[in-house]
Amino acid sequence: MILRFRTLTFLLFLITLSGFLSVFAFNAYHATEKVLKEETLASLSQSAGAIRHELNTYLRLIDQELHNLKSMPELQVAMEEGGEIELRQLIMEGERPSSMQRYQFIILSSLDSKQCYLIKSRLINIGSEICHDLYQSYTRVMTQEWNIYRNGPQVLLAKDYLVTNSEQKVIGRMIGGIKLSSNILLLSQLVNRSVVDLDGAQLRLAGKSINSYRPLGKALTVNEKKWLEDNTLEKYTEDFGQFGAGLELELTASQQDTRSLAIQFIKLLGSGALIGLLVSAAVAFLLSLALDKQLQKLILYIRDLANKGKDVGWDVGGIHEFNRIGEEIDLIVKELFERRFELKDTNAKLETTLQEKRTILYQLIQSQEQERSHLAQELHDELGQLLTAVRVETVLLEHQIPLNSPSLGHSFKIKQLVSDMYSTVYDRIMSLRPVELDTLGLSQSIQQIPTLNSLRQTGVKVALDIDEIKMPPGTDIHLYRIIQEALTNIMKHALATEVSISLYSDDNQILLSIIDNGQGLDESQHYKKEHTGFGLLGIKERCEYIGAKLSILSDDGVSLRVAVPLDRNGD
Amino acid sequence: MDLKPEVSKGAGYKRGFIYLLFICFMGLSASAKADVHEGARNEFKYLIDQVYLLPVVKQKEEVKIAVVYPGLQASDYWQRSLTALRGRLDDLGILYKLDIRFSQPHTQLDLQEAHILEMLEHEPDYLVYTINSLRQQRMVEALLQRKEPKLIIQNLTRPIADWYDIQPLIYIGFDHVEGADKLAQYFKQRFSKGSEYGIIFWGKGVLSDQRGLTFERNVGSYHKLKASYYTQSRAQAKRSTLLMLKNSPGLKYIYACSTDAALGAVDALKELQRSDVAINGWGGGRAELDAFQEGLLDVVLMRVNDQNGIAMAEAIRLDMLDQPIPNVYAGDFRVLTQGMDVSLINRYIKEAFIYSGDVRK
Repeated sequence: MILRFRTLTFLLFLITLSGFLSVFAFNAYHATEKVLKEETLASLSQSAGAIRHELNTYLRLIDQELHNLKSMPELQVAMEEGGEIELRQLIMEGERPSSMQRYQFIILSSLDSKQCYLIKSRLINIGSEICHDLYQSYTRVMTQEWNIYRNGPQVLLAKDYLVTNSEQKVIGRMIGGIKLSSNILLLSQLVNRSVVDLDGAQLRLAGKSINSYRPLGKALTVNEKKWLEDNTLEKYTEDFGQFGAGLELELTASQQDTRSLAIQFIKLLGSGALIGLLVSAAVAFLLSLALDKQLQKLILYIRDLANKGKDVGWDVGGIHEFNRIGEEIDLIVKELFERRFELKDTNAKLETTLQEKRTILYQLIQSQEQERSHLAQELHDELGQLLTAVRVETVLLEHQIPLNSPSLGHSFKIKQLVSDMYSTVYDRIMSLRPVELDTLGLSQSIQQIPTLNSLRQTGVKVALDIDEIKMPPGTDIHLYRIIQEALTNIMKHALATEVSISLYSDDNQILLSIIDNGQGLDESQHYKKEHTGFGLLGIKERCEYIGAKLSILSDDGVSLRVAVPLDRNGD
Repeated sequence: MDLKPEVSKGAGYKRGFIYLLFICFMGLSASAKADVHEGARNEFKYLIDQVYLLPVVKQKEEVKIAVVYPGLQASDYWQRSLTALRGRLDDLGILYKLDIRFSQPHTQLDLQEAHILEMLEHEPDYLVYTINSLRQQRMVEALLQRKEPKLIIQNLTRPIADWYDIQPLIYIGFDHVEGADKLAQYFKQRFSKGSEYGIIFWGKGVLSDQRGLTFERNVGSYHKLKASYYTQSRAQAKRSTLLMLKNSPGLKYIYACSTDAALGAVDALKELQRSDVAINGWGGGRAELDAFQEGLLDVVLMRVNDQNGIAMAEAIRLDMLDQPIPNVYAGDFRVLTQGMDVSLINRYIKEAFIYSGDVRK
């Protein structure tokens, strides 16, 4: 599948950014739980501190009220005179600032414990109301400013004061305080005054709940209830040991708010990721578009360079890197054009040189043929006549020698030598310039090639299929030489047992083929001089000289074919 | 050892972000909650104004309603409330058992406590009580700690903020502040700037604060307050008025915070044989309307009295049906003045006492 660069970069950008967003969203999602937990615990810790502060403030106010109460002369008098009704009226019904403001019970006891009065609203249940027992219970735990103590199932928080008479003589002890257990209003006030958002607050003593408060629940949907059932929420415990061992405050995080935060966070994360994805897609699209535009510009520039040449020039754009690429391409193209011109010059020079050399070669071939012809004619005309003369003289001499003379044998040998010399010279003449070529034509000359006899003598079957052909002037000698050279190669290298030579023509061309069944050519050494001498190279040159097409096939022997085109118009 | 958990620094920006979300959420939540309350209040007001009968509540047994009233006073407000309550409950077809105890408003708090204890032994479903003093507030606080009975606080229309979400079933009454505002407007229109006046409060407590101090603040410097007294009985109010007029004979009017205070002031004026000092009635009970008819009171701020009992009955009905109930129901007022068209006055009175009946002589 082939994609456009724009599509590819867009997809790559999109995949990369989507991957990044996915990883970010995944991490953020998992970090949410930790963040919420930390936040919740931190918030609960602060809430517990605020509630402790509120409780201390509340107790300070009660302390102030109790202090005022015990300092009232009327109270002192009533204690000394032992009037419970008076004490009750004083504490419960008076309109003084100390009249049951915040404290919920008062215990007044004489020092000898003979008199003990419990003053409280009858609507408040603080457990057993036996004053002496209450007093004794308190004195047993009386170790600090404010003390928690149990009175049956109820847990009380109280502080004690000494009551003196007008002479500052201590006449008794006053204990005042509040009920901690089942005092939901107190816990509600502490929580709400602290302006904390909680799902629940619980006062625990020795691990057991003595007072618990849950703010009025917000209406929950079915999904919210299910979520809350499936998720454990954070709790935080603050030690309230300053009032007595084992007292602690347990706060539970606001479930709905935590859930709402979680949902909000997830929604935000989702929408953020979606927006991020869309923005990323837009950015990826714009970037890929910008890149594609530059690339298209570059491609057009290169195309113009190819079509119009080096003078097109790079149109400077807004992206520095692409301008650099354009400039570099410009430089490279200019350099290429220079090299191209140089190469063209060199090729022209080389072609000229080659043509000159080829002309020289043709002249050489022509000269060689002329020289060979001349030499053959010389040998034939002069040396042949001389040898003939020697033979004639020898015959004449023989007639003068007696028959029994030993000289007759010498004379015979001379004749034989002359005959051998003639044969040798004839062979040389034939190799230089077959005389028959001029007289008998190419077909007869081929049959006179000495190498044919040599091949036959070595047992090679030679088949000739030679037609009489009228061919352009000067062509025959080159075809002759090609055959001569090919047979020489077969003789030297082919190790063939059969050789066939055919020569014929059709309307368009003269076809020469020389085929052997030898070992074939080593392709890598086809035209190498050291193996072939000037054999094949010479054949090639001659073919070029006469304008023939040469083809050599080497497969189970060598098949050499030469096609000489006939120019009928020129005939 | 610091038990506070450490929070990673990396979570700082996330925390800020979460806080922002949290604040947005809380804002939406509070807005939604306010809408819910407003809706319940409007629906409840609509129920009060109904003249036709509503569907009967199916009951297995009669609902027990305990009433502890500081009703031993000149105002028949409390008795009329009970009449209206009964009437409406009857109309609604609710089977009920009313257990009622009366006491004096300011001096018999111990008795009220005893009454409540006595009532609690009968395990009532609803307890009707009022708050006009710290002691009474403390008693209600003690009652709020219990799951039963459900509390109806009468004659108080400003919820006690210090109780936060531990609140009684409903606050029912007539808004003292609203009433005081209406009377202040009346007196400011009636008397010119700089006129002198006096105030007779009715006991030290919420009632006097809301009725008396609100009036004083509203009148402001437009009129001159020459004297004010706290009183706890009609006789005390008479004595206070006499003192007031002795020291400031030029008073144009005396603002009375209750029926007893008003009647005490009327007694004083009669004794002094003065009719040039205007006195208001506060509540519009039988005694006040009689005095108004006789011309002894110049203006009467009349509650549409029976709305109180109707509201209690409706609140009980809605609670039995587990329907939402507003925290507060404040009844309407009508200002009756001398010279007002008699037919209009009669219509107002008829509306106000739709269950407890016309009370004029």
